[in-house]
Amino acid sequence: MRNGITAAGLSELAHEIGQDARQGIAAYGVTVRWLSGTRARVDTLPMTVGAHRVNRDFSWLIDEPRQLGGTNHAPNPQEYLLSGVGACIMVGFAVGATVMGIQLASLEVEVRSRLDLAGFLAVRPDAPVAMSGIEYTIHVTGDGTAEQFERLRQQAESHSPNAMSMLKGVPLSGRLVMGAAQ
Amino acid sequence: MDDRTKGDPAAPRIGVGSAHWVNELARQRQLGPSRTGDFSAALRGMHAATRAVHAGSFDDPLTGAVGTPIYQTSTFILGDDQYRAVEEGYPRDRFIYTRYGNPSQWAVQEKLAALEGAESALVFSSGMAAIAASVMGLLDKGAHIIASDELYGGTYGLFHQELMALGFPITYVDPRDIEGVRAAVRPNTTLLYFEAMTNPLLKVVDIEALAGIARDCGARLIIDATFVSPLGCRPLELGADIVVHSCTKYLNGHSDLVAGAALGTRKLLDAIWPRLLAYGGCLDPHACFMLERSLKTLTLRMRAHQEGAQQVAQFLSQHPRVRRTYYPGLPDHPDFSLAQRVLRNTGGMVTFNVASDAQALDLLPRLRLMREATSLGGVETLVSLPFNTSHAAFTSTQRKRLGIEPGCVRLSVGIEHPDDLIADLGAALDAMAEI
Repeated sequence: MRNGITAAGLSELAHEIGQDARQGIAAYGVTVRWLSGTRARVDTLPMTVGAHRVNRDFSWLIDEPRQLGGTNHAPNPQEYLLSGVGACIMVGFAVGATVMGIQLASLEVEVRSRLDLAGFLAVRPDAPVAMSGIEYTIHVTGDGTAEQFERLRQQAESHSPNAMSMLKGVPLSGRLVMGAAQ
Repeated sequence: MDDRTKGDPAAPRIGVGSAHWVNELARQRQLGPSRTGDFSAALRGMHAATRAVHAGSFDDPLTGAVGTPIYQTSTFILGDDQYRAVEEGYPRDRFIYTRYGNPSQWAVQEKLAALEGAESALVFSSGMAAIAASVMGLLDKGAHIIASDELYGGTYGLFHQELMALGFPITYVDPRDIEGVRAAVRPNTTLLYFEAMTNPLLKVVDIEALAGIARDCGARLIIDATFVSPLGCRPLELGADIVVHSCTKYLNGHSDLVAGAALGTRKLLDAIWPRLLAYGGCLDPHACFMLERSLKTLTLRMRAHQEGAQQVAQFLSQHPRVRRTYYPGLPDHPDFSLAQRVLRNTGGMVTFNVASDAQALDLLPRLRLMREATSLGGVETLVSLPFNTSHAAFTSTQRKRLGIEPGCVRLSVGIEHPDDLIADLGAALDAMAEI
């Protein structure tokens, strides 16, 4: 299997979804539980792909650095967000390389961003809460040409659900339930 | 066979290299794999007896010898086509190495799939190899399993010892208690595992109801249909996702090889296939030949098994020294109406009770035709006692809780003439000691 990805499997999945749109619906979730201070533990919820459930038995910690009131035990929410964008672009890059018949030797996606804490802290009314932008750099070696890799980069970005969710924005809604979760 | 295709000629070029994104790739999921590329399509509409003889089988392309040759090889000459199949992710469609696939395996797989009404099949070196690969192919980390509390001992060992040790929580339920099965569903339940007919009390399981529960919670349903064979019931048509068989039993039917099979959609079999490779339970080509040959007479044998079992069960149910007889073809069997609805053949298994385990032990040596041996589904009638074979690991209290009363005797009725079997049983029962 080139790049550890089966082109045949990708092709079959795409055709399956083309014939039955329900098979293309993936539903995810996580639970973020406050531990103390800025620390939280995240647990994945079972996801569904099409009509079927896929168990996801994974958990991780989130924290803030001491400078931001935390204990620096784990990456912070912004770092997880950037890793989610970078990994999503990376998956697309590896998938695209496999489709194009390009053998990758190494692939690294560096993702950077910045924000002004004045926004979160409401120090200045004009300070933005959101990140100022996200920049990524792909370091790649393999048997593709520079032109092919640039095309791949563009394909990976434009087909990345996470990158496109950030770029275009998606609705965010919340609600409150009084009492401990069951 | 197309000389240029060492495998399934229906597997198309995918378009890797010329495509720029996934939507431009050409391969759709297909049946099989099939050496002829049509997966015996014309046979699918024919009767089971015809499918049993012809599906998957082929004549030697070099000499015209009738019947599938035995491809007794471990490996195949590689070419660009095979290398491409590996690179692009469809090695299951090419002959590369016998653990991956072999024409002898494909022939019997096609025959089994045609009998079971499945898109795809895999054969294994035992029923347990088929079960282990199928279960592991459908499980993700931390997944919860709901299973029958009357599993075959080998399967129970896999679940209770191996899967529990790997951290898979399992809930065992009464297979007749459909609401109890539904109540056992958890948010992380992804697999339901049941047997179409239980051992030794021959409970018939409502596969449609179980499939409904699996569908409602997004889980998969595996049915072990060893006791009923595809001629008794085709669980895929009733909503099961995967059917597993110990081919050692009725499918081979001659008590002379050990083999297993898993059947279902190509999508799921492609997920099980890597576990076959990883755990290594592939079936030897010579055993494939024997199994394929035996399957050609499956319809004849199953008819004889059923006819014999029905007559033996009727005889036992009227014998004064038999306390109770279990056979799903008898009107007093608790699942008789369900069996009438879902089973086209009620099989050759008959269970009965004499007064005590000691009396059962006294009975067995008095039988002259029936062989005291474990296993089932062979042409010869076998007799065994659950208390010292399949259920020896249980205490007498546990056996009683499962409904296995003392003096339980299990018959696998062969294809001998029922009159001779009844005479053998009658003489032994009459001579049996009062213990």
